[in-house]
Amino acid sequence: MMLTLLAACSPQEQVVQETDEEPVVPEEQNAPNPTETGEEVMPAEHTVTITAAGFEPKTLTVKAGDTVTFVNENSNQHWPASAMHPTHTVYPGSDIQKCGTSEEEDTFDACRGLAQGESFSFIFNEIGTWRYHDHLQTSSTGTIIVE
Amino acid sequence: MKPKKNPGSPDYPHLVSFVLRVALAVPFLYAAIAATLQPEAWVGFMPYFLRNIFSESLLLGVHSLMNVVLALWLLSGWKTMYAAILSALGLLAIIVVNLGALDIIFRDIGLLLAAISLALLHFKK
Repeated sequence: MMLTLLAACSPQEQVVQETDEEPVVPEEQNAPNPTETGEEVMPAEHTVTITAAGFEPKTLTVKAGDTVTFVNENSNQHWPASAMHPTHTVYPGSDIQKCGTSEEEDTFDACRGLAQGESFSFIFNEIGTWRYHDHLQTSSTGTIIVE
Repeated sequence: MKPKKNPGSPDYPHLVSFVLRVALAVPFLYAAIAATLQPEAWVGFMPYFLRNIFSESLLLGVHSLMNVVLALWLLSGWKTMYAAILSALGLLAIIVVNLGALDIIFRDIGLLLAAISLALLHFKK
């Protein structure tokens, strides 16, 4: 919802279409301005740490458009990626086959093992409950709930 | 007089044994080949305490070799009970180590029970 409101307010959406057709006004544009309602419009940033015990927190609830950063605090390498192992195709658009391609940025997949101190960030635009795992330690799993 | 049949014994023990042996050998062979072709997808099943001692390539190599040996042993039909027991122990280890990935290894529980069934089928007093 927040993302939709953001998109509705973005400059790209405000470009006047020079056509004879009657412009179609998205329903969202009739919604009250989030700044008027006092609603926070900036996407939030969340952090999931990776330790020897796995992901912390195991379950994280975010809003669509929020960024989640996975930070490896463990000496072993860890590779957060969408379920299921090993294809990583559950999150829409994700696929391990896209690693190393131009589509890699759009996938919920670190696409490599993160060394200690390294991080991987992903913007969750798809609403739903998304399970993920450590590709290098499949028993380590977590869940991102996008509302 | 026709001898009384043990209610627990199958009508076609050789066929049942063959099906169970193939059922176990096929995934073992698949795992061995897949782990060789796509090691990064399989190394995640190896526990870190082993990976901190041995190299990942060594662990995967041993894992693949054991799978091939077990698969061929099962298919051979030679001393099947022992092959089945070893298979069950290997599968049990995989399940215990990867309990957190139950949505992936749940099939191994079925294979474990198949291995136990095969061992019981060939158990001789």
